[in-house]
Amino acid sequence: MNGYFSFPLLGYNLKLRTKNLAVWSIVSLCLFILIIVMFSNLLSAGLPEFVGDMLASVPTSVASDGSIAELPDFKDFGVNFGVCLQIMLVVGCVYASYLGASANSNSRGDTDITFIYSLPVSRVCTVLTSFVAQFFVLFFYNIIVLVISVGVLYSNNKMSYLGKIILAVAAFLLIELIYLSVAFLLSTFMNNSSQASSISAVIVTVTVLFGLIGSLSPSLKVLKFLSPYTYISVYAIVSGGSRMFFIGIVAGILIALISLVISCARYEKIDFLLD
Amino acid sequence: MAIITLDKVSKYYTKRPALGDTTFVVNKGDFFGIAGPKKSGKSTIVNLVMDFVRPTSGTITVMGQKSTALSIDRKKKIGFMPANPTYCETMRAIDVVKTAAKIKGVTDNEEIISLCKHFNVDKNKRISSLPLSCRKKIAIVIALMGNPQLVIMDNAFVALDSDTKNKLAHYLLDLNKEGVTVVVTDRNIDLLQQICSRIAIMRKGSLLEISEKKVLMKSDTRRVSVKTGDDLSALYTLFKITEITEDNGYISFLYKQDINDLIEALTHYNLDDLQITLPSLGDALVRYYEKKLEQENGGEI
Repeated sequence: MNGYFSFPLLGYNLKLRTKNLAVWSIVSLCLFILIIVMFSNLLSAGLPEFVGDMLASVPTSVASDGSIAELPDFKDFGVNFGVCLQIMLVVGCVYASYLGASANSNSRGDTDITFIYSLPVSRVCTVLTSFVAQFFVLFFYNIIVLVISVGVLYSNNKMSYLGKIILAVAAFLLIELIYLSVAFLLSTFMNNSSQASSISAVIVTVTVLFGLIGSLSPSLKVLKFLSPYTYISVYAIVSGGSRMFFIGIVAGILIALISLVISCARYEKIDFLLD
Repeated sequence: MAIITLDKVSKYYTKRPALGDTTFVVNKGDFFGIAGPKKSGKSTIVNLVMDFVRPTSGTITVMGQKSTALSIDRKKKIGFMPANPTYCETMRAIDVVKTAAKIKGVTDNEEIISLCKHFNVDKNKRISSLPLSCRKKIAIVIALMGNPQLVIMDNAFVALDSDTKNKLAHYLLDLNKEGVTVVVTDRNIDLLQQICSRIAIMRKGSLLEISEKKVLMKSDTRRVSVKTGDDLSALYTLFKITEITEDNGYISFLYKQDINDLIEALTHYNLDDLQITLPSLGDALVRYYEKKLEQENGGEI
């Protein structure tokens, strides 16, 4: 074992988050089913016609970039499922933010750190293993989302979409990695996890809104760059639109690395708040 | 040889110091106690030595290295027990111990089992079901495994049952005889006095004094406890005794003068019991404050 990483500590960190992962997975499963059922009901209740009327009333100057000029064909399974997955991504981003926020600030108010740091590990090691553990938890969570999605495909006889779904979940992971990294970095500046969680929730909400607003109008397109939520369009992947957005991948990895480096540097200086 | 050195160390969280300008040394082979009431700075010293918090000023050296840059090899030689040990709630006690053993590089399973047995650790119970006393036993095992050269225990005996306290005290004394340096903090000065060779007395973030046990033994001061129905006011006036306490029917006071004079004076009273003992370290605190007040009030207490 070197001073920078510890597999036994990683195992400990993973066990620490198992219960939490189970709870979120159950919540996500219920949400996913709810979204699919609600969406199906809305479709049969006349959503396409309603959206069509809404689009017709939007001024041409706003709709001119074509992003909302055409009504999607909601009868297409890919479009349906793509919308549901795009909504599920918000849930994933919230979970990723929560994981990041609770990574370090918890340990500062919680004397669990006196157990971990009293062992022969460095501060960098505690940060790195914590981050990797959070990432693994996020990975397992997305595997569960993938399994649920495959279940939906199977029940609808649409296994031909499997490749797209796998790509979509990979996009999930990349986007969620950005939120995880930013929240992780924030947690090293916060005194307790509830502070960090609140700020993370605000960041997710604001960035998703930025993404949506940025998508509506070319004059507000710059907002999309402030929204990791829009770096890769999961809806487009599943509905047969654009492929994975290369800049989104690069941005995701870069943001994660920068956040991690700053987190390590920050963690070297802070006091672990103890009672 | 110094194993822990604090050189003009202070720690401020707010305007009031958690630890004022403090300098002392713990030598190799010491059984060093840090005593004092709540919020006196005992845990702050431990947290600074273990690098949980960074000093506002001053330097701390542990085993020849700065506490903020302790190598992994050095850390392997330190056994630490926190005041309030907390672990993953879903894990079993033995799993937590084994995880710590893997990280510390302890491969001797027999040692782990023997320590768990010695301190009656509920190996198969989940952490969530264990009270503080049981979690402290786990922390004791983790601190003592792997042949540490320096053992640091914060609030060492708090929340432990008397059997575990005894076992821990004897185990630490045996370790100390083998050359292991032990540092313990506790609120109970009299308990520390029984096992420590040197004790630092803390109050409100300040180091009051470091008492050596052998110096205490040489002290002329004695604690006198008398059980009688008679009025002892004349005795108090005669020997200028001011700090008098009553407990369980005994009247108790510190006496610094010729003991023969006191015994002669006491023969004039009808005594049920008389005890003359060495003062405890709690008394050392009282003497310290008497001296301080004397200085502040120009010779009068």
